[in-house]
Amino acid sequence: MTTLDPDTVPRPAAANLDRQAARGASSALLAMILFVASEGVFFAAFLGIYASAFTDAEVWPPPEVPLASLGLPSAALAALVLSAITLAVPVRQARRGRYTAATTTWLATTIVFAAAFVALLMYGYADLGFGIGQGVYESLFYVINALAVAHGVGGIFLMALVLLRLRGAAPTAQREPVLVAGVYWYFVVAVGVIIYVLLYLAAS
Amino acid sequence: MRAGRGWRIAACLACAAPVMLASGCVKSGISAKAEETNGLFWTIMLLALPVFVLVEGLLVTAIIRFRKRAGDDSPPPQTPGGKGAMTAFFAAPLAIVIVMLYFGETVLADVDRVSNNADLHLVVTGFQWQWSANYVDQGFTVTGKTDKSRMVMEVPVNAVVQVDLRSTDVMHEFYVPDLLFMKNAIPGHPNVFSFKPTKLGTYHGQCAQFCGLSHATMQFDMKVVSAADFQAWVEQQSQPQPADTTSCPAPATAVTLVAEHISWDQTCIAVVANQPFAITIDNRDVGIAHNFAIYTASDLKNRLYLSGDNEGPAVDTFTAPALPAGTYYFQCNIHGPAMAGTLVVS
Amino acid sequence: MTTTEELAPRAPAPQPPDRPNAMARAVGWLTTTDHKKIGILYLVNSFTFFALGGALALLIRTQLAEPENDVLSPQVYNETFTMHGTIMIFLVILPLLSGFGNYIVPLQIGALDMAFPRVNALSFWLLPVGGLTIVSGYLTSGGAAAAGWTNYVPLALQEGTGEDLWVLGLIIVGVSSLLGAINFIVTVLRLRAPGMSMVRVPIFTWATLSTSVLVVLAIPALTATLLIVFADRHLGTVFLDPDHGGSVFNYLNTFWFFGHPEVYMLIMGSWGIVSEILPVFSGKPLFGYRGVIAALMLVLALSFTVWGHHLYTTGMVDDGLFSITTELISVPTGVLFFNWLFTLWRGKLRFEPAMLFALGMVALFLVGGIDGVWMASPAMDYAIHDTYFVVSHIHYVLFGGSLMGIMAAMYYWFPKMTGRFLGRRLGQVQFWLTFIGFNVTFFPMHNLGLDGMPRRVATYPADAGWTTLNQIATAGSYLIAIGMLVGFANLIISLRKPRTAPNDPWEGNTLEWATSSPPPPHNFDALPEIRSERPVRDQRLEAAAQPEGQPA
Ligand code: HEA
Ligand code: HEA
Ligand code: CUA
Ligand SMILES: [Cu+2]
Repeated sequence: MTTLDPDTVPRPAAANLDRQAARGASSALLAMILFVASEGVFFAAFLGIYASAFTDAEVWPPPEVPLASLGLPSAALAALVLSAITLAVPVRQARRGRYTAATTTWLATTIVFAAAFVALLMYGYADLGFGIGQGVYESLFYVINALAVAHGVGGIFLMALVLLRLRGAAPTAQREPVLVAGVYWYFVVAVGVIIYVLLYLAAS
Repeated sequence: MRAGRGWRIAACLACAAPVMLASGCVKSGISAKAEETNGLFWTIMLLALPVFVLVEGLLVTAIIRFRKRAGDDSPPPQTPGGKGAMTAFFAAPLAIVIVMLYFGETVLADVDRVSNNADLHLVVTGFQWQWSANYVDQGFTVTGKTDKSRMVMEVPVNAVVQVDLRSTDVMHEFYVPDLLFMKNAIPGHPNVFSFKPTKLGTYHGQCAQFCGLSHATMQFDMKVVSAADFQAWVEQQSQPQPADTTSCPAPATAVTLVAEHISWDQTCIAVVANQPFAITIDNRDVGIAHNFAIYTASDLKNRLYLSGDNEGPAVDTFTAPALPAGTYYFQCNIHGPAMAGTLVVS
Repeated sequence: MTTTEELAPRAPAPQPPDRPNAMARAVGWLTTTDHKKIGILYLVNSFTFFALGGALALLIRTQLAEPENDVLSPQVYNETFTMHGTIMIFLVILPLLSGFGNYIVPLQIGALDMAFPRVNALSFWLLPVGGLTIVSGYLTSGGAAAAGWTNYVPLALQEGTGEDLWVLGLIIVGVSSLLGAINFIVTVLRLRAPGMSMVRVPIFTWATLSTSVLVVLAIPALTATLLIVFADRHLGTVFLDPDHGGSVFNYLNTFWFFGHPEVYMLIMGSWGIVSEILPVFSGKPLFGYRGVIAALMLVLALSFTVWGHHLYTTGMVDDGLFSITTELISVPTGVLFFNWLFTLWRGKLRFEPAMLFALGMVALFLVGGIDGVWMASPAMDYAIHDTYFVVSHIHYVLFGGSLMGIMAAMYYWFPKMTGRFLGRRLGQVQFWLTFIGFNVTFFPMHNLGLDGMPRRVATYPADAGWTTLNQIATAGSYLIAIGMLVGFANLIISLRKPRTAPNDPWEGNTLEWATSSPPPPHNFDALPEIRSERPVRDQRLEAAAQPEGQPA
């Protein structure tokens, strides 16, 4: 007993640890909620800069910024909203612990819409007509959009991972990954909507 | 036993601490505002010292009185602490804080007030790593040279001085300990403050905001002098400084200036009249920007040319426009009079 | 209940397969996911950085021992205090507290491990990576970062490659803290043993929990500022450039929004440690257990409202408003002090080294806290901001507060971690050298500050009248260094001694004392019943009440 080497003795797996736990959100879900809270502060820091630049400026956005057309961004937003709607189905099923073959289909659809969002956003980048260093608005525009794209790609990656896991897994194992990915993607959706309002709507 | 004696030493040390603080190290101040701040220091001391003595006192008393004696195995009373105690613990500091805030906010309002009928207007500019003070109404500027000389500025006693504080590069901080006051000089964010010195003397001033390599030597002197002395000093400063053109080389169509340690290698340059000329800046100050500006005179009223910034270390060549013959003033706009000289066009 | 007792006497069993396995053991440490081993890794890593940070501090003091000294050139001096501050804040104090948290928190709540053991290992390993990235600035031609730990812009935009490494390294360290914090929160909220309700959770665990909440909500602001600095330096953005509509304020505001909660991340753990140690060595419960929790939560909330007190002299914030929130934070902190004092009152105090350090923490942190009250008053701060008064405050709270608490924790939990006691005698010597050296070093800095000596100066004029106090401070710092060397010697000597520590050497209260020293890989063979916030004491009393029970 005294000479046990901790690394040669089988140690409890994470799943067992979790069984010890109290009620409420599962560990992974709670962790994702905390992570998203942290990400929220991260984006808020940039929104803070936006707010202070906005209050300092007489004309907003600055007059030298060519007005972007709302076409592409609106399409991107539509894709994002659609992804939120299609994601609601698997999330609700996971919440209730029910699993049907349609779950994977809905999740796959969500991924397609998510990819469309990212693609449209990046496509809009190509002909912006202003550079990153012309002013704070321009800097914010590029950086916030880039962060949104990065988070969108991260979300797609996460959902794809979940999709792979779902195939052939027992229904009880479905719950958590779907919910975790769901929390993350809804965060991305919220960010996307805020960006649309602050960077595109405000500029037209 | 041993630990006990140690704690008595500690008690003595703890008592020595406030005595040391009280040994009068806070400056008495050379203006009404400064005296008010000095008063605030003692007000806070009056409120904080009892807290300090009470807490350290209880701590030392507990240590001496409630040590476990050998052979005493009876359990101590298991007092858990109730709502009453907690309320008191919250209420007592809150009361002190409210009193402290009252005095703090009152003094703050006084110290922050900027007088709108100042007797003397100064534009003080911090740059790496010196100061310059522009006497707006008198029309001259005093400055220091990095690592060589400090700025010496004079202000008349009992006059209200209003300072516009600027920075041309990084953050600095105008600090005169005897004014019990400091304010940041921030690029893009001018600050204003005013003071009314009441005591004659020469006071040490220093940049307090860390600003890079020579932050430690970014010092200046502020002399508070009588009105008559001030007048004399102003007259002496306002004498048109005879431009030193003896060191000037022959006129050329291309000039090279070396910038190192925040100064130019030449104080006089000469170019050919009515002909654009090339000006090459060899900037050897790592991480620091310089530029080249031409004015008709050192009052900076009429600017004839401003080059782009040269981020050191780098060598950049700019083209300045053709100028009619005459004597002009040039400087680095970031470092002002500390990097200035005469441009002779002939 | 009886099952735990069976573990108590540790037979000094022969350990033949020890030596030949050295390689395997090293691999074991490198790949471990056991929270206890990871905790120890955290401690070893952070104490190593502490030795480096301390050595840099001695360089600072040596340079400042004489006016117009040139032991260090201005450039090297600037690098030295920047690295000193950065290392102490980001690579020493918080990681040390995380190290103790890792080891102790799962034990205190009766869990088998952290919620995510592998993420836990990742958060640890990111730390030396980030730390070495920061320090590697010394290898670049421009030298290490030299803009101060607060890295103010635009100065930071002028810096060389060392600055980029500083930014990159801190981002990595930030990710490490964030992952660790999420792990702590989930662990405490989800993995508590049956009966361990939130109002029975030990204060150190509460403190780790609130520290982690601070990390989750404040570290992203740091990451954002680092990103902004990086983008302005290399991507051509103009967030900080006033000529293009940017502003220095974008940095200052976001940085201090992180920066002030940061300093409470550095102290709460020590508050928790002291709140564990004082009751144990007084033989009493923590006075006002719930009041302490309430105070912690209030500090947690208030700490997000005070950041402007670092910006009083910039003219960019509402000084009066931030003064109110800042001074209010003294109130819950005061509650902690009064609770500690009443815990001691009428107790039966035992002056083990852990207790000495804990009492020293109370005595010294008080001074730092009260310094804070002076600076919290904006008009007063106009006179002492950016002077040695602030340097004094920093060290009274961070050294006198955080580090003293950590030393106490070291003496308190070392037997649990290693099965060996740290020497009592050497512990006392270390304490007195440190305590006296500390005051000799840092008290005179108050006077220097009031006398107008700015901080972060590579040297000072001979005629300024600052020489004597600086010399005293330098002498004191060497005394601290001797004290720390004594502590190090104590550590080495103790590690070579046989394992003699019983399960519960101090008559502890909390669950970590219910298992063997060191604990088995699975932490507990059996848990005592948890009916109060002092389960181990309950168990001890019960055992004493049963005449035929095994000896405790
Ligand atoms: C562990 C870290 C820590 C802690 C806990 C604190 C705690 C406090 N700090 Fe400090 N602070 C720092 C670390 C810390 N600080 C650092 C590192 C800096 C410098 C950053 C830099 O490099 O620029 C700094 C700077 C700093 C400034 C800016 C100074 C300047 O640059 O000009 C101010 C100003 O208000 C301040 C105030 C306070 C206050 C009011 C508290 C309060 O929380 C203290 C509360 C405690 C008490 C007051 C004592 C106990 C209370 C009682 C017994 C109750 C009764 C008492 C009264 C009613 C007075 N701190
Ligand atoms: C926890 C934080 C912490 C700690 C512990 C210390 C410890 C010390 N600090 Fe530091 N300090 C800061 C945090 C800290 N500091 C910060 C944040 C700043 C601001 C930086 C900035 O302005 O950007 C600062 C700035 C600062 C300055 C001001 C510099 C300036 O403004 O120009 C000075 C000057 O004297 C100083 C001195 C010291 C000294 C003498 C010690 C001594 O107490 C150090 C004693 C320690 C040792 C001597 C180590 C000895 C160890 C061994 C020998 C090995 C032992 C090994 C094991 C135990 C494993 N510090
Ligand atoms: Cu300018 Cu420091
Ligand atoms: Cu603060």
